[in-house]
Formats: sequence, C-alpha cells, structure tokens
Amino acid sequence: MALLLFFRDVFRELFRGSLLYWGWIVFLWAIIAMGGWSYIGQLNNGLVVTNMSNQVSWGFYISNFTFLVGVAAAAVMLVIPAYIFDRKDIRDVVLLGDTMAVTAVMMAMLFVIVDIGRPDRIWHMIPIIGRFNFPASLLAWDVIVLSGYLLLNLGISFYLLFNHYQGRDVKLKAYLPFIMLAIFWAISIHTVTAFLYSANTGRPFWHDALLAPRFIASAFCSGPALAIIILQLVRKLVGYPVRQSAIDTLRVTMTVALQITLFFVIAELFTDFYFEGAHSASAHYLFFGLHGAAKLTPWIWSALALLVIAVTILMIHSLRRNPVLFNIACVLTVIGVWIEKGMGLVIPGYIPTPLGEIFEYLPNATEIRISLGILAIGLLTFTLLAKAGMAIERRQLRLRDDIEEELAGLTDDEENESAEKLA
Amino acid sequence: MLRLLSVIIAVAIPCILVAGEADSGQAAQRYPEAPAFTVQPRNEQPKFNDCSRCHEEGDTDPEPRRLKTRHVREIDHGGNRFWCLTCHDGDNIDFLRTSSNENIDFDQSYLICGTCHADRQKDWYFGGHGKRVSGWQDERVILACTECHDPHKPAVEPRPPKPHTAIRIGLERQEHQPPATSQVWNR
Amino acid sequence: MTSKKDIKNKPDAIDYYRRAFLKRLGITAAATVGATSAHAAWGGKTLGDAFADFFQQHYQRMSAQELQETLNRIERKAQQQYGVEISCTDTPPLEGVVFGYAINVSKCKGYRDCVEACAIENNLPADIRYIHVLEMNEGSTSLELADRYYEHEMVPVEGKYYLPVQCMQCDNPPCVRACPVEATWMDSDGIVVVDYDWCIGCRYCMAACPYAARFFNWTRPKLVSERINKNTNYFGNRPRPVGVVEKCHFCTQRTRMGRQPACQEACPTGARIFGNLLDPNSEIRYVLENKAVYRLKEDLGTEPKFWYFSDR
Repeated sequence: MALLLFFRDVFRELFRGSLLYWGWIVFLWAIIAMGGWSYIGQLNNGLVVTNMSNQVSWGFYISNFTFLVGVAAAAVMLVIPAYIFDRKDIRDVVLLGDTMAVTAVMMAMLFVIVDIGRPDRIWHMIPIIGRFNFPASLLAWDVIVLSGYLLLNLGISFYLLFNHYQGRDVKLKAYLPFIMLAIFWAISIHTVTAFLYSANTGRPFWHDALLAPRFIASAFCSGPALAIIILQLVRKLVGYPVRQSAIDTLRVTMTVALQITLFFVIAELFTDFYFEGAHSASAHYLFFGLHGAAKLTPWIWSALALLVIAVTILMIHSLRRNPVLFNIACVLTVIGVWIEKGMGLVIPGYIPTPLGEIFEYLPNATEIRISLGILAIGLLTFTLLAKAGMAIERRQLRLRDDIEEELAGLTDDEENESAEKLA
Repeated sequence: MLRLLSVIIAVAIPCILVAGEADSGQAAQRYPEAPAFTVQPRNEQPKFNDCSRCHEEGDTDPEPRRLKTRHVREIDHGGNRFWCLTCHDGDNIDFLRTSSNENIDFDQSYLICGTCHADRQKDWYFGGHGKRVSGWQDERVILACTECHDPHKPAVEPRPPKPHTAIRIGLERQEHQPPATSQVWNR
Repeated sequence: MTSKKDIKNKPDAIDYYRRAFLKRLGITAAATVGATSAHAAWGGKTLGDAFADFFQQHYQRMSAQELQETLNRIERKAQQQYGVEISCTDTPPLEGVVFGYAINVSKCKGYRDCVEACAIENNLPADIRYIHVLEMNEGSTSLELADRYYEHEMVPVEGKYYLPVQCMQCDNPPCVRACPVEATWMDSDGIVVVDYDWCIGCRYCMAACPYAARFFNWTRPKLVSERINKNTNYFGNRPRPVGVVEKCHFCTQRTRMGRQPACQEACPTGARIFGNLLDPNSEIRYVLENKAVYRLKEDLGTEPKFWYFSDR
C-alpha cells in the first residue's frame, strides 16, 4: 500500500516544476527524439550507417560506454567516505552519487545495445534460456557486473528513499553489507571493463597490465569531477543543501586520482616510445600519426593538455580557491578523460589492424545523434530520479497517512525542526 | 621389319604397364613409401605424340640446332645445355627418354624432371609440391609437372592479378613507405 | 540426418506438420507484443517465419526436426530476399578428421584466384573477402608494411612476395573464448564455425582475433541473384543475415563432403595444400614433417592450423 502511494507521490512530484524544469525536460525529449529517429534508421539499414568498418569495428558507442562505466564506478568515491569514514556531510549527498551511478550504468548499457548488430537477439545472453559464455568471456562478466551494479544501486537507493518517505529511520546495520558489496562491485565493474580490452593479446595497445589501473585512476578523477559539477548545480538550481566539505573531499580525491592518471600516462609514453617496435604502432598512430594517418593526434594532445591544466589548477592553492577556475578544472577533467579513455583508447587498438592495415575512424553524424540521444536519456533519468530523491530527502515528499504519522510519532513541528538542522 | 617389331614390343610392354594408370616401374621404386597416386592424363590436350606421322623411324637428325616449323623454337630450360633430343627420343619419336635411356610415355614426363629436380620431385610424390585435383580423402589424383610447367619454358610467367577487396566508401588507403632500416644498401 | 524428403515421406507427416504448426501458433499467441515489432529486415517476410526466426535456438540445442525447419526457413528466406531457390543442408563434422592447411609461399604469385573463387563459392558480398593476399617486402615479415590492396599490371612484382591470410582455424581460438553467447566454437574436425542465427553482432570476437580474420555484415549482404551459389549449408555459404559476424570456414559445404576447399581448387600454382592432419599419409602431414613450416603470430599461443612454408 505504502509502495503504491510512494510511486503515486513520486509520479506527482515529477510533474511539478518550474519553467526551467519543464524547459529542460522538453529540451531533453527533443534530443531523445532526434536520437531515436537516427536509431530507427540504424535499425533499418544496419550499422553501415555508422563510420565503423571491418578494420575499426568498435567506435564511438563503445568509447562512450567505456567512459560511462568509469563514471558509474566513481560513485564509490562518495560511498566510501559516507559509510566507511562516517562522514555525515557526505552521507547527505550519497544518494545523488548513487543516482549518478545508476544513470551512468544505464547509459552504458544503452550504448552497448545500440552498438550490437542484432539487438533482437539480446535474449541469447540470458543463461539457461540462451547461452551465456561465463566465465570464459569477459563480455559475459561485464554483463553480470553491470546488471548487478545497477540492481545494487537501485536497490540501496530505493530502500533508503522508501524508508525515508515513510518517515522511518534506517538502521545502518540493515544495509551496510550491501554498501560494502557495492564498494567492491564498483571497483569490479571498471576492472572487468578494462580486462575486456587487456584480454586481447592480438592488440598490443590494449594488452597492457597497466590498463586496469589506468581505468580506475581516470574513473576516480572524472567521476568525482562530474559529481562536483552536479552537486554544485543542484545546490544552485534547486537549493538542495550540499556542504562545501563534501565538495572538498571530492576535490581531494579528484586531484590525487588525476595526478596518478597523468603518471600512468607518462609510464605508457615511456614504455611505448623509448624503443619503438611494431608493438608501439598503435600508440605511435595515436600520438604522432602513422604513415600519414593522424586524425586522432589533435584529440589526444588536447586531452592531455586539458588534464595537465586541470591538475595545475587543482594543485595551486590560489588557483583552486577561485570557484570559476575550480569548475573549469572539473569540466576539463571530464572532457580530458572522456577523450583519453574513450576514443583515445578504443580506436587506436584497431589502428593498425593485427595484420597491418590502417583505416581511420571518426564518428559520423548518425553516431553523434544517437549518442546525444542516449546522453539525453541519461540526463532525463538523472533529473527525474534526483528530483524525486531530493524531494524525499528534504522531507517534502512524505507518506501522508494519518496512521503512519502516529506510528512514526512525529509532529509537524518536530519534522520542521529536523529539516532546519539539515540546511 | 623384325627389328622394328622387336623395338615396338620392347617399348610397348612397359608403356602399356605405365601409360596413364597407377604408377609402377621406375616411379614406384623411386619412392615406395609415397602415398599412391594417379597422374591426371593430358587427355584434353591435342595429342602431339603422334610425331611418327611425319617422322619415320631413324630419320631424326641428332645434330643440336634450332628447329623450324611445327616445333618449339626456343628452349628456355637448362641454360643452353638442352636441346630437343635431351628429352625426346630421336629413335622413338612418340616417346620421351629418361637419362637411363628408358622410353616413357608423355604422361610419365615427370620421371625426366626428377633427374635434375630431385628434391622438388620428392615433394611432388608426397604432396608437398604440385596440385591435387581430387578430393582430400578420395583417390589421389595429381597434375603432371607439365600441366603447370611448360618443359620448353618452365618458368611461370607473370599475369594480372584479380581485383582486391572493395574498400569501404569514405576510407582512404594509406600509402606505405618502406622503412629506412631494412635496406641498408639503399639508404 | 534426416533430409526434407525423408520427413515428407513419413506416413504421419501431416500430423507432424500440424503439431509443429500448432506449437508455433502457441508461441505466437504467447508473444503478441514481440509479434508487432518483428521487423521485416530481421526475420523472414511471413509472420510465422519471423517468429520462428526470433525464437530459434542455438544450433547445438536444436532437435533434428527443428534443424530441418530452420534449413527450410533459410531456403524460403533466400527465395524471398534474393529470388533464388537454394538448397541448405546440415553438414556435421566427419569422424577422425582434423583439417589443416599449408601455403607454399614460394609458389604464391599473388594472383588472387583463391580470393575470387572463395567469394563466388561462399556468396560473399563485395566488401567481405575471407582471404586476403598480402604483398610483403622481400627480406621482411613486417605486416604493417604489407599491402593487400595492390593493383599491378602483372604479378608477381620484383622485390615482393605474397602471403595469403584467412581464418587460421586456431586450436586455441581467442574468438571462441570472447563470444558472450557461444555463437562460435571449434567443431570436432578443427573448424571454428559460427552459428549465424545465434550471433548477436557484438563484434568482440573481431576485437579478439589476432589475425583480423572475422568480418561483420554491416548491412544485409547484397548478392547478385544470378551468381548465387545454390548448394549451401548451415555453417557455410548460405546467405547470411545482417548484423552477424562471418569468416572462412574451410568451405564446410565442400570439405565435409570430401571435396577440396574452393581456394585450393582455384590456385593455379598448387601453392595450397589441404588435408586431414590425422591421416599420416596426407600431403599436409608430409609438408609439416618435412618442410620448414611456420605459423603467423605463433607466440600468441593461438595454435593456428594454417601453416606457411617455402621451397627456397
């Protein structure tokens, strides 16, 4: 019963909003429609409408998938201080981090669905009904860890929100095991995604032990950067109380992770270029071009430049204290990692092909449109989930049932008091 | 007359045994452990081994020279060491002769090739060279050397290649440059 | 393996077909939502075929009857899509056979007769060729500097040698390990086959293959109806659907019937040697035991069943 009321109230909340809110929703739907239109074209004609080829058989979709799995994993950077280090200020915003994780995983899965050639055959992956090549196939592992992470985060968030909606305090003991599981699971989703690439011995650019550490490091700087931007936005636009200490913690995480990421990049550059052999061909293509093909070189150097600028801002106190510069650093981090881990990782693995062919790839309009559509779906999901979640957390959404109120034992005054303490 | 008859008999019997059928005689003794095979006879090709229509027995001029009319003019085989009667038997013009003066049919020409190209021939007997035209588990039928190598000009001539795979529209072929290191003498 | 004819001649054939039809009807009723979304581009043209296509099981799980129905459906689809009447059979692997292939590099002149013969035999669209002939520089084995798109007046060209590559039918195939739905596996005769009706088109196998030997159908293959090879089999040259991966399969429609693969037959120089590795008297065994053979990227541990050797 309470569940039905919960959904009813949440649904109502989603249709309540300012002009800005509705403008945003309509804008997102417009982009979703554009992406959907392109996707229908892709379904009709096959993946030939993209710029992928037999030589470069994974492209923009999988690049975005890789980046988004990292963002999803980085929610753990909020969960750990909230629960392990018992930081109350971060505990208040951890649900936003969970929402970001859920949205990112959902977007990642959508990118995989638009990338595969036969989405009508996805049921082939279901164990028992279909055939699931577990544990041999890293893709099978990825399906398990991503689905599990999605369910885990949805479950924990829903559990918390539903109980808060009913005015009940939640005992940490009840869900701490799941939190612990989620922490390890978050690391695992990105490690498995890295293993997806590093398992391929035929592609020396990917077949690198450092790939999984690089993934985690770059996830832990781009994820918190994104979280910082989102938290500041909800604080500004919606007035949701976000303590500056929470943002400071994220900033420290992000800075250290960014330094580690750049160190790993330096390690890769040295290993590839100190003594170049055939195994360095892909790295050579990425950074310097190969036999005249050099479409990605401006991108990777820009990405590295952005990351260096970001880390410089973050490391110099006077620069970092400037809110404008600080936010620029966050944005640059997200963009830099998106390039470096997305296109800067996936595409050079295919150039040159294992038998030496060089054919370049850049996404075309169809791929960009579909990707924007998925991004819009993600933003829409995040907006809706966050709106409902924040309403519940701010006690604006409560189970208005007299019996429940009596049971909870709270009067209106007491409720308002505790609401004030939070702000 | 009697001499002609005896020659014919002396030649015909081994030829009947050897002509176009399962290998025996020289060949079998050469590589007894080789898997059995049949050489695909040259039955589609015009029979040139009715040379005796023009040549009477014993009228072949043994002098090495360049021949005219109906004959191969140039022999691009073995430097300048060969001429027609190296392989063709002047006394039995419908047959070839091995280096040990055995007469063999045109379908057994491979026996001559192996005199010089022994390694290659061993490969051919066992299947490491040449072309198998039967199924991989059927009776083994292989092509004679002369099916690919014209004995008068054995080197295989260059010819145009078939087209390459279609390149996806929008992709550009990269021009490969050879590296400086591999050809030190060309730097 | 019962053929279409056998089933038709059975006394209760009508009963059998009716039961099969009712079963299909049941599935139809149960999945009405799926019905309306069955797009013409993916299934057959008829609703019944579209459903059967959608629910088609993995090859290794199909009963003989289901397999026969699948083969019939493939034939119907070819009729609808290309207007040709093909025959599609199932060719299971032969007992006591493991196939191997060897290329005599000194004999290959780069004619690409094999490439063309394979394309004709296996109903390949213009952008897919299972075989590629790499023009390599003499004195180097560098694949990066090789060219497979050479266009010359005459081949062979001075200073180059030619290396044909195709699926190596590895004994330890990375692609089989990579596939999340087990749509590709190594059969008992050593051939790595792809179930085209099970593949979801994720292309992870293409990323995993160290020989770039797998190809994707980015669109529905455009075949010229007059030139379609009508003798097809399930794992081989039957017309493939859009969105699935395919590769050289050592011509299963030929080799499992005792014939040579199309490439071997087409090679005019006899550079290709194919046979049963388990037969000690085979030509391939002679080559492997007597010639200096090598395999590509052997250090990766893929154990390819495709060797190269040279006379020189």
